[in-house]
Amino acid sequence: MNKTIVYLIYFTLYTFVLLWIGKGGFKRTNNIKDFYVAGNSLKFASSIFTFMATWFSAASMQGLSGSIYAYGYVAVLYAVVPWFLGAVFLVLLARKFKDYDVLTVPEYFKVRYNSKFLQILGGIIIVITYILYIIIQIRGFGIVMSELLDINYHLAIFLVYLFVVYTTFGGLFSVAKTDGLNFILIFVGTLFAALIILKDVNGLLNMHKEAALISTRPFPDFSHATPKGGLIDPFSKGLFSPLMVFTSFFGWGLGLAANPQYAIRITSARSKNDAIKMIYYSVFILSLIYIGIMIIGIGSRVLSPSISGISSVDEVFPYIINNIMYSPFSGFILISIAAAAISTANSQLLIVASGFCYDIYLNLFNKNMDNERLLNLNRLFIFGAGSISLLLAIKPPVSLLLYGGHIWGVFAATFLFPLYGGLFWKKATKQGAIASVFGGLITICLILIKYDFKNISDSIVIHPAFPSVIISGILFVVISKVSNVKKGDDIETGY
Amino acid sequence: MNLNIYFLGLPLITWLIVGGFFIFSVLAPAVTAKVMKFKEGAKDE
Repeated sequence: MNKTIVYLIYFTLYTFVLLWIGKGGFKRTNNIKDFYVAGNSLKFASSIFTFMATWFSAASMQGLSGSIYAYGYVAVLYAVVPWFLGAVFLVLLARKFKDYDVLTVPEYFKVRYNSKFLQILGGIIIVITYILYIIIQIRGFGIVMSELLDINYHLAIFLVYLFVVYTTFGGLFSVAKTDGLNFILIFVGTLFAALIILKDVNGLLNMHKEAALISTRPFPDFSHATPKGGLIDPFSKGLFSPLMVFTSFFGWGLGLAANPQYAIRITSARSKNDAIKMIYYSVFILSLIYIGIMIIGIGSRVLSPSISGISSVDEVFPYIINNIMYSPFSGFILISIAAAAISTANSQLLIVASGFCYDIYLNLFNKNMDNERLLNLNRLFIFGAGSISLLLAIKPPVSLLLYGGHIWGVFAATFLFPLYGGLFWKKATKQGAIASVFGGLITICLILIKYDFKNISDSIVIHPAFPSVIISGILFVVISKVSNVKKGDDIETGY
Repeated sequence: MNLNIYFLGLPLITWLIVGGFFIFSVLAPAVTAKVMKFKEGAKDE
């Protein structure tokens, strides 16, 4: 059967099933608590599926596989290890955060520090940071759809409205339902692609032997040729500095630890025990998929040491599936790649909406808005925020993995200390939290602007989040201590 | 220790650094959760 027709069948099937499953969430959403956190009622299975589907984004599926293709195993140290270590913090967070009856992380700031200002500030940071981050999902989605439907990337990204915006309109119930389908697709698609590639390269031993000999440029626009043996070297024979690799923990790892999308998954779980189990079971299952991604990255390089038809690492996986190893199952694998972008984008749009409508708008303008109007305002903002990200994705960043780490660094630099410090340090004060947010934010913004955050190069020596988190931490501790001395009776405020 | 040993075509140093950190990070959240549970149990007693 003709390739285009096969792909169209996969696309149509996926579209109908996703939209049909997604509509179920509309019926269950009666109020804003249902919309944001599914009424704190998600069962263990739903929690774990939505947690993993939100985690496994286009940055993992396309950014990581492409980066392993270009740099080798060093990309695992740069991204996967920090992500999993960040999950350790989430386990600690789950123990305490679930005790607060809050719908958003900025609302927790308001309750803990007795500060409406911190809630609004948190909302602003969430809106801006997530709009910038959703570019990653739209970029990833656009690349796959342009391969799948053989259309221009700029046209393909507009299909995001069909999948992402609609499924998000139903709130977390819709998102969690569609996440179940999307995660199954991601799991099966990735491991299936890894097995096909492993067969084509004649096994692991042969794959590594051949990878060790590669010394080509991955694609014409890439900044350097791979040094011989670099793909199987822990630091890519100098392409990535060890300092950069280890300081990436401050961006990816601590950024994940302080990220509202995971805190909300903790809140939406039915119980504290479920939330903690959800985190470590997810990490274990995700590790299997990441092993598949490693095989896809290195194996693709062995199958095609240089690709002339692409211009970024993020295009590698879809290109290989569509052009180098086409089979009747290629359409299924391409859909699974798109599922990774969709399942993360809808969760993130929900967080953006909560940041604007709940943390900013309700606080500043209309405290007594009725449920129906508030839900509709959220849907309107989801459409608006999705559209802004879409426009920004027209000129995408050069590498989803590098860009994502820098954007996540904003959460590490701003939310980490107020969130964890507020939970675990009784002496943390409002003044300390505000100083920490501003200090971290200003530092990371200055660095990201200086290095042009959309096109930041891999030659930068230290991750931008590293100095920002240090400054944020120092300010949090010092100002909290100073303000404690000044107003001893404020110590326990709101705690 | 001879780091020029290869296993499945990968140098031992890569197994140790990349593989070691990977396995450690996969297990770390579960170990943390168990330790916290044990500590809470001990506190309750």
